[in-house]
Amino acid sequence: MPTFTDKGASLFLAPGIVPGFYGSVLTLLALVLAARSIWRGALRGDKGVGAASGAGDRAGLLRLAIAIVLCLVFAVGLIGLVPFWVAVALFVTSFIVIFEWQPGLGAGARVRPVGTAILQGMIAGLLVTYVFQEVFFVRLP
Amino acid sequence: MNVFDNLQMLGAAFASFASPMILFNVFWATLLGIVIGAMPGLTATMGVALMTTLTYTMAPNSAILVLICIYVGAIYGGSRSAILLNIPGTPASACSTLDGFPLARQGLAGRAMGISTTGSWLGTLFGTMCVALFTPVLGELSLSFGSYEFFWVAVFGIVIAGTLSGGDPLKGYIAGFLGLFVAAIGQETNHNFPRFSFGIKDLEGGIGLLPALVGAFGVAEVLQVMRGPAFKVVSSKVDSVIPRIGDIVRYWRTILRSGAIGTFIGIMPGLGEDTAAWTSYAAARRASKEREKYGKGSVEGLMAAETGESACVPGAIIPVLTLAVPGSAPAAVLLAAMLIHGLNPGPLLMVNTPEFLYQIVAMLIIADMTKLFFGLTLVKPLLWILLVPRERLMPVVFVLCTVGAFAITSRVFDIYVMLAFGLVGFVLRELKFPMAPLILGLVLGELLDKNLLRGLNLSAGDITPFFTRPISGIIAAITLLSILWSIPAVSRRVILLFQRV
Repeated sequence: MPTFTDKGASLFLAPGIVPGFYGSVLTLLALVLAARSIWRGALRGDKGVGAASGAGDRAGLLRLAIAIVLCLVFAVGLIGLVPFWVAVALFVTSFIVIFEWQPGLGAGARVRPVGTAILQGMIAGLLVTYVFQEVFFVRLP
Repeated sequence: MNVFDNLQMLGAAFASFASPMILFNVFWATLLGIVIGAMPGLTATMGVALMTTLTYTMAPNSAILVLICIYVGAIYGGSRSAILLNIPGTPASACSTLDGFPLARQGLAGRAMGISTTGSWLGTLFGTMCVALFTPVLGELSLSFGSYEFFWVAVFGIVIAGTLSGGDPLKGYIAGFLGLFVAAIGQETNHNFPRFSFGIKDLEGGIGLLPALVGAFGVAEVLQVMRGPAFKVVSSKVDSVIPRIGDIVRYWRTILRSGAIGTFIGIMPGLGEDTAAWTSYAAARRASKEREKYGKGSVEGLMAAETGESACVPGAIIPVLTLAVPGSAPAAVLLAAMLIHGLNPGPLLMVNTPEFLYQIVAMLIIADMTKLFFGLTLVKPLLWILLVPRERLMPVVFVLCTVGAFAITSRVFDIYVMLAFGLVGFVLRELKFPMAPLILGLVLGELLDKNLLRGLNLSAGDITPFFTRPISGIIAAITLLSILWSIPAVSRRVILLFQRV
């Protein structure tokens, strides 16, 4: 396969020069970071920064995992599958219901929070769709 | 061009914004900016990025005016939650919690908000004056910049953002070069050769700046807020928010010093409002006669932080206008919005469209005055907004992020870019990699790419002009000194040496 210089292009305009420069700098910085971590005792014992230790951390990680799953389901699954306002309403409602869910409550006590979640989901879906499409003339997914 | 011409252009700029529709836009945008800034989890960058989408169909000047109102409002709004919740609404307001919250606990929440309003108003006004005075001078200087100088401007931006954006400079440099690397994805400018696209057509178009920004600042923020513990409003009683003239008279030196520091930090590429606030606060504390009050509810400390961060907003716009290099993360979005709307910020701005500079000055003054109005009148409703639980706010924010990422080019691929940047941004934040250099890298990627190759081509591969041309050599030397200074062993020895001398 002919190279850029074979086709008469300048060697110094080759597309790989800049990524090569970035790659070299990143490799150098990564090596310094690795060496510094080892110098500071990264290989001595288990001192992982991200390790979940207490109950608060575990609850935080659970909330994070749920949020990621919900966001992915909305952005990758729901959008394009159903009308946009329906996708928004479903996402907002389920997000609120799941995160505000309190175990041990009776069915009667759940009517109000779930009802307001559904209402907020519907309002968000319709309002976002209307404002973006009709007021600001923005195309929606 | 003389002073009279400049004043004439400023007058014409004000006159061009004197229409009911534009003023209506100013009001809702500034208010929205304050609300975005006040809500923990919503940042100025995210607000400006989302609104870039909404203002896409507006006339260029109206769109930029709305974005500046959002930017000015959001930086100010962050102090509300800093004072009342002890949680900074935006990272820029973190410094305001030090004295704002203790004042609120002493039953002086209203006075604290009054000081915040005064400091913020004066800071933006000071910075705006600097925009009017220094942009033409810097614009003139930037005309002598060639490829070699622009290459170093880009590298300097990454290095200085990495060094001073808080935390570990090494991680800052890595984040910055990662941003530059991501900017290299897609067709390059000389031969349209697709780089790192792996045959995927969407990747050949490159990574859109706005989806990436919305992901790194919006989605990552949503995930971070949902991971952390819920916040509670501590203070609900508010005394008078009317600012006291005595505070301005008493602390005029602090106001001027913080305004100058804030504007200077703003001009430095990629640093932004949080660095401006912390630096102004530290300088005020060093010079203060009431140092012992700092951290326990010092009026002077709060004034310094607020003036510094708000002066940084106009300061960050100066390099956007003169070099097309952003001074902060929200300014990076503002730069992208200017390019989207066909406005061409950069060295030729003062030659081709000098009136645009005075339109920006008028926009900043209008936004600042509107901010003052809302700061004095809308205290109670803002308190209610702070009470919205995150479980009800964050899903709506995520929906807005999705719309924001999609709307500019109507590509579903941009939603995936947003998600990827959101997840990567979250992980990087957790590992204490700063976001500002990453975003600056994304913005400066094209500038560096183009000018490195152009410079090498002009010198037939000889790298000496990168170091031997006067301006290029100076920027290179400052860049290298910044890197050396960030190495603790080196900076410690230099300090010791100076102490001995």
